[in-house]
Amino acid sequence: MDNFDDIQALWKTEKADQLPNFQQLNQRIATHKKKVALKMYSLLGILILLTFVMIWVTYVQRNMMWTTLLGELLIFITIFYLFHLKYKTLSKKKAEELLSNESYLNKLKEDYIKTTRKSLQEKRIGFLIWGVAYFFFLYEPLSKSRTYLITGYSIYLLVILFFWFLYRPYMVKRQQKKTANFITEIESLTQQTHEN
Amino acid sequence: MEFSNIYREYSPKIYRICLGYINDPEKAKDLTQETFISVWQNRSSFRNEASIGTWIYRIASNKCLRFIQYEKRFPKTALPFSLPEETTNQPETEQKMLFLRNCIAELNEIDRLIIGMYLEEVPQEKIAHIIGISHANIRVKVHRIKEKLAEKFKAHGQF
Repeated sequence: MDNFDDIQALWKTEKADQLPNFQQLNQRIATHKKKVALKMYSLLGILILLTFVMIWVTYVQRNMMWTTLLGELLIFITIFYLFHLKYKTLSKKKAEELLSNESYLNKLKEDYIKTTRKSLQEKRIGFLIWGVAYFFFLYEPLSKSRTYLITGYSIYLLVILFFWFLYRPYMVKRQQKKTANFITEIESLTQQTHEN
Repeated sequence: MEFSNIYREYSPKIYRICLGYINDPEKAKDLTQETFISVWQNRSSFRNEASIGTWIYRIASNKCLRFIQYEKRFPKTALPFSLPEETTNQPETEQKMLFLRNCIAELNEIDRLIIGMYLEEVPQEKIAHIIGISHANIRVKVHRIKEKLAEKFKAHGQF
């Protein structure tokens, strides 16, 4: 090796023959397309199934109080809301890959912060509707006796308090830590582009 | 240019750039395939504003950078004091290539991408465009990386 040209020549000797041929890549693309479609169809399938389950539950339950109906309606809304969020994630475009590395890193950081904040907010909304939904839904079965009503709602309140004041802050903290680590990594990469 | 021709022409180059970045042939193979899946997915966005090569290199380098989100940053390979014993039976070129890859693995992430593209003879102006920094900055960076690599090669009697 006498100079950098030799290094360049050496670099080109790296064999790339283990790479799949074009037909194999095409197969991989087809599999990828199928996987995305399958995810979408499964999501739609589960949603249809859940709709039928809800209709069936509403139909078989007799002498329903308005609280139960309202509860069921809210549960249904929550399910739709959660599916809508999942669908949004699946159909998100990846056009940002076409940006320059520096812009891409900045966009990645920005998106990550925005998505995390939005996702926490969406989870909070989902949890609140879910909580109210079950509050109404439980009233009919628990209203049969005063003891059931007090015990049932006390347990329900404890569960809600546990999730809201212990589990949720724990998850938020975990997510914040993950976000902070990710941002540090991205910033370190962005910093490298400015270093000489 | 047809997608099959694009794949045939650019896949070895992209593979080498990915390999330079992650120093793991299997993961480099996966990243190369992912790059071409993205090229195929985004082919309608390509409007001949840049050359197809620049466009593909940009997708590949972003794929490499995105890698940190999926895996903990892989440790930079420590440069061996001498060439590892198990490689002594390998042909000399392979040993040297392994040494070169280890040298590149010691660089920071952006430098690894820059030198990968430089070794693939991507013009510096295009590298600057792909990374998103000035041409002058790229020139300085390339010069420093070349110096670092040359030093390592000299120190190990490879030059």
